Amino acid sequence: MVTVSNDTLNGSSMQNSQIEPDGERPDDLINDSDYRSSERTDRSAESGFAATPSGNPEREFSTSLGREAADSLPASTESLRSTESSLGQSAANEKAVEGQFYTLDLRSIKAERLGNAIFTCLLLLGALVWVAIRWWTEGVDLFFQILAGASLILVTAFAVFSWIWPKKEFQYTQWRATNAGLEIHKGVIWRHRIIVPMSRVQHADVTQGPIQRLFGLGTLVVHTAGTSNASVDLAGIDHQAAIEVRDMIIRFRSGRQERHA
Amino acid sequence: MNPEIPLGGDKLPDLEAVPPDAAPIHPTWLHPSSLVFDLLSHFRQLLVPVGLAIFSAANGHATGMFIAFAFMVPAVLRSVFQYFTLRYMIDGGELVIRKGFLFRSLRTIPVNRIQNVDLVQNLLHRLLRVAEVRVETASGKETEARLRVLSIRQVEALRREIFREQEVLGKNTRDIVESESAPTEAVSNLASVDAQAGQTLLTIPMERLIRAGLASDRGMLLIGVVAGLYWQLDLENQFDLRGLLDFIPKFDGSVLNTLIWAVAIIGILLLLRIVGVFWYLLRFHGYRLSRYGEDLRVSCGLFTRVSATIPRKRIQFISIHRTLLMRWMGLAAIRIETAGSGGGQAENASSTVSRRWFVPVIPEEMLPGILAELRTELELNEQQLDWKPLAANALSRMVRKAVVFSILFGVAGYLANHTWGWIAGVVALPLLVWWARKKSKAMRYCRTEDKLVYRSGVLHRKTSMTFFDKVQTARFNQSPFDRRWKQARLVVDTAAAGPAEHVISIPYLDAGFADLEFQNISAIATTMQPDFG
Repeated sequence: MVTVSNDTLNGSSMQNSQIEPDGERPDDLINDSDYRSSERTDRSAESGFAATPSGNPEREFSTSLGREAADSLPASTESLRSTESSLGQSAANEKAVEGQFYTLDLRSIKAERLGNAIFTCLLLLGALVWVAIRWWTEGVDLFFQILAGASLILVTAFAVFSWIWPKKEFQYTQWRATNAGLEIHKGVIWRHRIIVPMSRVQHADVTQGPIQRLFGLGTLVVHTAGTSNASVDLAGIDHQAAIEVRDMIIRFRSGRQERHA
Repeated sequence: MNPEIPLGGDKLPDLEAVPPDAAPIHPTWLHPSSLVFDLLSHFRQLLVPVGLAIFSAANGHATGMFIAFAFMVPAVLRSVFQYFTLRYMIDGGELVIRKGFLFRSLRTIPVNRIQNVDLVQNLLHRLLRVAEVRVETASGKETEARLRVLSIRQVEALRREIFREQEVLGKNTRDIVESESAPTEAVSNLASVDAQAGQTLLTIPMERLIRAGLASDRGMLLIGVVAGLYWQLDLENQFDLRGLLDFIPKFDGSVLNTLIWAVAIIGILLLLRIVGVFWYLLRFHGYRLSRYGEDLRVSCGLFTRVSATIPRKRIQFISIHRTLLMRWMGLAAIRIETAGSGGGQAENASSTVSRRWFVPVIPEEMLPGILAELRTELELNEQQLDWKPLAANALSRMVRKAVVFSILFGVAGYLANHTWGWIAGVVALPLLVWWARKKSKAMRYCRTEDKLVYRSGVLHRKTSMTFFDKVQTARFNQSPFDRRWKQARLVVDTAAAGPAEHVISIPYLDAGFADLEFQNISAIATTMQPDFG
């Protein structure tokens, strides 16, 4: 059990830990027991939204996420933080880290895998149908054997890939919503970090696909007036959390407008 | 109507010179000539039926004519119908456009959301003293509303209402237009002109347009057009090209033939430059940039006159372009971007001129003066900016890239020609390394209190800036290569649509520095209230 508070996120603790990005991950922490806890709400209210404009973080980012959930936050989150800081060492001490980063919901790995499994099955089915037709019409020749072997290997490779990839994505994705804006880090090979300042959000939606619904997940989509990043989405977080973040963004905007009026 | 304005030359009725109508606070029709222009705009679709009708009539067949009329009559009726059902007015701070009879549509555009009002006048428009009006908002890439066509007086009334310039227009404007030929073609100083009146910031004399045309590569368009025509009209099969080729003297080293070749090549290059000059003269003849309070107005064009009004606060992005030849001549061009329309396919004549060619050519020494007019307190002294260099190892990375590419060139050359092909790689290496050095030297980034500036380009130098209140998102990207070199790319997104052809996307930055800037930019942007309009 690890309690993550603001302290662990501040520069001092971050600089000292230098774990290479591709180094050891506590994979054992991402185990089945984690998946099963459907009440898991690691996006707890501890500090992430402490800076909401109307000031009361506990009330602002409330209830459905459960406060005790902070205890169940996987240690991997912490190691992610440390990992990130190894990138921007020089910047780490000057940077004012004001909000806590969250990982995706652990259930998102399972949801992704389910989606990928369905796709793999369809792929396999297609390959099988093709093989059957080819066998029926042309019989077995060398060309057939090569193609059948290749498609088998491809499907297997895809299956393996689609099993590993969601976990990789999970490991490299983190986000936070502070009064500075919504910040998302993602990408396994090509890494991206994006910040959408709160005042630039035009509107925000929460969407939920069928598989996501099965796992209680959602996608937060934030729209800006920009061109190349006109909408920024964050898929695979707890549905309730997505709704809370959306509401928080809306509150932020309306609060701001009142002040400017 | 003003009968004393003769038709011809630049004495054609100019948009600025006409006193406006009363404000369109009651539903107003378009100008009656709209009927004609609307039909003309559908002319292309009607071309076939009209041709068919003429053909049938010539052959004495009535059926063909009837079929043709079946196509033409609805088009005419539609134009008539559209004309009689379309009304516009300004009501309660909104531009209201009603149209349709059975299926009615009512479009209301809040005036304070209007990004700009563009006018286009081709020769026919100018003879009839009307103009096509395009109203743009920040939404999407489409023109929000198109009023085809309004009389100049109606246009002025509309513009005045939209931009609330009651005092500006009318007699004042006329005075300024008439005093335009005075030697104040430089940046006019604020004190001399009534702050409320429109002041001419910049006009471009013919001589400078010619120089800009000579410096531009616009003539290259000619090659494209010729090539296009060649394929389109299938000239290959219509002319005996072989015969033409025989006519061309062989490059055999004899003095006469070498001379002919040299003259021909110089002639073609000269021709391309001259085409460029003509293009500039056609497009930007009578260019005038003026300022009406908080609005900037650009108008230019020899035959088709374009006039665009852009509120200053709508400018998202300013980009200064200098090609090699322009730098030799001490010239520069300014492009601006506003939110929404423009960029890509949707770009129309007016937005092209007013954004992509906002200031088509300006001498270096006048640049700071004009920039200061584009945004309050905008000062840009490119030499004195605190330019931040790329990562220390950026040059090494670029040189390595150059080496890899030259090896690839060499291998490709070798595969093509086993004896001499590899020389391609040897030749490419110093050139690419030189290019990499130049490129890394040119690429600089700078953050000041209010803006971000990025410059890049070896031959075609571009310096672009955006402002914190225009920044939409900040992005920090790392490719696997970037990670290996501990570098990153910093990207700043704005609502600007892209006619400046330069985005703030800075590669090869030190990863730590890029991350710091990424955090800083978003932190500053958050504190600035954005202007969604």
